[in-house]
Amino acid sequence: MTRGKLAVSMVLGGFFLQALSYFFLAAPLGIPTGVEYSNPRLPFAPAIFIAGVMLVFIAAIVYELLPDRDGGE
Amino acid sequence: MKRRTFLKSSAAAASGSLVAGSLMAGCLETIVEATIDEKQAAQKEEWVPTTCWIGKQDCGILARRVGGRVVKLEGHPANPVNHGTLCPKGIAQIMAMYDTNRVKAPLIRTNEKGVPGEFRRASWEEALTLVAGKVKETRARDPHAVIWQKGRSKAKAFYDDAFAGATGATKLHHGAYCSDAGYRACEYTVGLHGVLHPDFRHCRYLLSWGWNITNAGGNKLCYLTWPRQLVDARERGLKVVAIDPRLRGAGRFADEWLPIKPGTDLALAMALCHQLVKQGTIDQDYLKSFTNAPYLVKDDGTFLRMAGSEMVWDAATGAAVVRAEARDPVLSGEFTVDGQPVRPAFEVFTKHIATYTPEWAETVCGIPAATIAHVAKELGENAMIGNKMLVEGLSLPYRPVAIMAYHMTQQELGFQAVRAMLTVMMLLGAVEAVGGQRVDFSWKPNDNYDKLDQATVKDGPYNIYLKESKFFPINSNNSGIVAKAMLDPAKYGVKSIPEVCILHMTNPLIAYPSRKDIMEAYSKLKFVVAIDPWLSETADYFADVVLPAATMEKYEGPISATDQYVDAVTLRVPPMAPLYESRGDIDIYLDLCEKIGVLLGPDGYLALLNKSLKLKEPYLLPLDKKPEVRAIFDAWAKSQGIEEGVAFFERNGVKVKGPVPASKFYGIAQNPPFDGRIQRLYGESLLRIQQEMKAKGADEIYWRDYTPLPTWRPLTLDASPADYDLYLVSFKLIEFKQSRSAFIPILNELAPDQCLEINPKAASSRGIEDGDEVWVESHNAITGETRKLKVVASYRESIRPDTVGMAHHYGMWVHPRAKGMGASPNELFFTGEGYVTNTADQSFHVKVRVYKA
Amino acid sequence: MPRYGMVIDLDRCTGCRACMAACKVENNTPEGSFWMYVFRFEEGEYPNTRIWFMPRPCMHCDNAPCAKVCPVGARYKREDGIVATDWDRCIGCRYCEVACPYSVNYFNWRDPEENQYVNWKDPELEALSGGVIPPYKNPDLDRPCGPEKRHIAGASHVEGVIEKCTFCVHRVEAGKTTACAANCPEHAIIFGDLDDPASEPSQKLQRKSSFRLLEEAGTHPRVQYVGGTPHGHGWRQIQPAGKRS
Repeated sequence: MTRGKLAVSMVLGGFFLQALSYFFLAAPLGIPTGVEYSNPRLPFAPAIFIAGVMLVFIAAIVYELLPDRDGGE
Repeated sequence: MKRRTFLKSSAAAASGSLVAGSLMAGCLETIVEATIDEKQAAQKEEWVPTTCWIGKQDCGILARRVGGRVVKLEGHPANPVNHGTLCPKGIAQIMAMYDTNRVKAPLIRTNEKGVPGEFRRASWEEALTLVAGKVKETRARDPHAVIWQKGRSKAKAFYDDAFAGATGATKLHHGAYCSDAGYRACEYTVGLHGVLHPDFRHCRYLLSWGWNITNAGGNKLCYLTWPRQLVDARERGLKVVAIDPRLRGAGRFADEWLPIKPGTDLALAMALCHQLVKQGTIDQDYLKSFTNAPYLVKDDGTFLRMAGSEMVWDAATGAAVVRAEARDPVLSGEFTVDGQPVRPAFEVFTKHIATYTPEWAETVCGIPAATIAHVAKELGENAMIGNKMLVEGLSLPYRPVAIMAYHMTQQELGFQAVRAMLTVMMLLGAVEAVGGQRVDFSWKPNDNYDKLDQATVKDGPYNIYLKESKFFPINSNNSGIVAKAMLDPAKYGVKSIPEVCILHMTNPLIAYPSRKDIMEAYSKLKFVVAIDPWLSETADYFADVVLPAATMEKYEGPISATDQYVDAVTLRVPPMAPLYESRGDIDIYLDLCEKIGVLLGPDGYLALLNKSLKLKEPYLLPLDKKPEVRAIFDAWAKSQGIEEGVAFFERNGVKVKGPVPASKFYGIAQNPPFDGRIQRLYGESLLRIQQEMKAKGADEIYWRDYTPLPTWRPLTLDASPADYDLYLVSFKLIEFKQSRSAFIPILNELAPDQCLEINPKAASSRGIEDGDEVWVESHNAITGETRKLKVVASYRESIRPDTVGMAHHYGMWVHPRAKGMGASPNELFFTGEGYVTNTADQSFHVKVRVYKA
Repeated sequence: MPRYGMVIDLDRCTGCRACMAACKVENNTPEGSFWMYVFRFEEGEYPNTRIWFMPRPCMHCDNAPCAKVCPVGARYKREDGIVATDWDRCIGCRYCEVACPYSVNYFNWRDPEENQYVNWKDPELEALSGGVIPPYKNPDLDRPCGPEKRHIAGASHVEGVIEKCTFCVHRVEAGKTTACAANCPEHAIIFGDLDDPASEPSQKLQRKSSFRLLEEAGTHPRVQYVGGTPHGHGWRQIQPAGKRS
């Protein structure tokens, strides 16, 4: 796998994690009729969101660190 | 190492620790949980009832003690004064009690005085022996050479009465700084010991006259009792008019703010009188029946008398008769009796106030004439003159208007200003009526009604506070005047100045105005003992010995716990043993008296204590041995009819005696009303006193305010040069009490900085921005002396543009927390001529100029 | 299950800050940490000046932004409505502090035992207090709370951890009211079950119209204010509490 593909897949993966966390795992949006509107559906959901953000940024570092097809850095 | 490797290993390490951390968190929970639950089982919880030590009114406290350690102070629910709550000071006291900066053992000074002190720790035996020796030796030479200076006495029977009585020490107190001008005025005028507060339950219209509603106590109390009654009364529709150079104190609760110029309250009160008479909203029956308004006055200002009795003009017979015989006394007119022109005192009064119009008052106090007129109109309407209300089966006059006033009495014309304010209420028939003006918690006629009326001017030599002197015949005992007398005894006719001073819960260098005079006077004392939990600034500079007192961990009392409507009594009970080597004050005094040799015997401390505590057989203290402090309170409680003795208070905290019946509450409900005591609208004896002062050669500055009716005159401080164009006033903060709390860290955090409150327009016209450091310089219009200090300016729209304010409690330097807190306005105020009332009460006003530092 | 909430009557509050002191001693909060804060406001121009006061605890929002963003689930909302912080689990990332529009979160930058106003490490005191810091430390704060048995009561346990008003959960579970409400001298702070029509806060809300802070933020606070008059513009804070400047 080229470093480009890896980096792009990390970026996409990161955004996927963010979307997953924000829309499906975080506290639901809407008029709060109960405590479930404040607590994330999965307790570590914000951590997953942050992991997604980190993944997106680390993609740039990974891209820079990995050698390209010619072996240079 | 290559970049790749470094980053890879960092990432590995990071993720490794994250995983480890989350695993650990789970473990930590289990470990911590296990240990703590075991400890919890061992802790026994107790609630010890006691009282607050910081404030003035000793609010009831329940101290929560777990495993022998006090962890929280909460309000005692059954105590009427604070009903289960505490102000921030009461809560914070727990930190004060444990404070590691308390004086832990008796201290004896090793360096010279007048500079920060160096002390060595001593044993109680050594310290007490040293103090007792000095007191004994001094009083043998001259009993007047020992003075006992209190700030707050929390057990009058033990300290003021028994100790001062047994040792013969001259008692100095703090009243002349607090509100005593008001006490003297009320004692003289209506014969009650207090200043002014309303019958909150029924009042509908209140003049909050200088009452710092949200920060301070009001008449005779500390903080939360009156504000709670005010808040409840507001919900019932009470209207509040705040009369104050600063709005802050009344803040939230003022429906209207009259921003009065400092020191001009007498003028406003007389203008209100003028309007009330003009409107005709005066209670003629009240004036005729209960005041000396109808008494006939001769041209020389004295009453017409027949066989020693005052006379009135009886319209029914058209002649002057003795008061008791008149059927229809008149208030106005000019008459002739035996060739002498006479007129009722009220006629004299009406002529006297003819020029005190609202328009005139506007030029003096800065309040628009229309506002004064409309307040007078509202007073007249709300007074409901002629109305009665049925209270507990008694039909009593209903006059729901009143004034709340306390510390504002401490101004140059304070004595007469309060007389003027009382006159407003007398005109409305509201004094001691339902909903109306009150002075004491219940009807308790005071001796000073006669004593002040009969005050005479004696020849010298005078004692150190100039009692019965040609300077201050009515005398509130001002420690600032004491300082002046010590520094120039010849001027004041004083022969001997004190040598030994015992400081009881007081810090004169910080809390008393005119620090310079206080410092100079204290330098003249030979031996100073401070009884205090902390090393006060006064002790730092002047104490030879410091005896560490406990804070609330001691027995003390008895303490009245009345909120005016419900009577109760309580005691201070120690929630834990006195910390470090401190001791309860009563313990200290017992040992001191023993060593001085005045404890036992028929004239000793114990004998006086039997009297002052009103102990009864068989609980009288034997006069031949030193008792335990707890045993004394046990004897007191049993003498009060509480069979369990002191154990009752140790368990319950407060003995609620019950609601005060209307028949004991209202002076007007007595039979005869006011016990026949006539209210002195016209102060004939004040005129007599003035003449005696003149005859003894007193200067005009001392006798000019001894007038039968309150009379406006230009204030001394206004004679300062025109560039001293601002009035400085000081004020209280709810977070603090005098100088004994500004260093308590929790409280200090709530009010961390001293500042100069200044109106933004006044500030910007002087080039001063919000937060700038400024010099505040005061000027003494009599001596020309100036004083100055630096402080940070803080913008306030809620203060008059010609007035600046500084809070009272700062300026300390000993406690580590006190450093850098800012200066005290007491450095800027002056004492002595022009800056005290005619009754020796301290004024807290001075002219200053403010400029950028 | 009670639905806990608070009603603060601005017509009664005198701005005395006794609630701030009571909260501090009850919960042993360190220096600079004001779980309850009382604002003193001034508005208008002399002589038409107005002064008013506003106590501000944590709002324990029904739509709690702080609970939504906690990455480790240390900040959570309980069934009874109390928004709690598990000081065992908190990692000190401060996202809740960023998310909260009311600024009620306080971060422990220092070891709380070093931050309790006074140097309590005095041998003469330790002999009396058993070395506990502060010497008036509340023993109830170490107890795990709720059916979830988590350490959510009190302050000052760990450095590097966030803390905020807990509606005195350790007192509430023992059947008492919050420290601030219990101590208020004017009875201006009232805590209780909003679902019970006979409870004091419910009664207050029936009698007086109420408002909530930052309604537009959509947080649905459980703390409601009654009384007072709407402020004009040009209001500003006077006499702030906190560190000496």
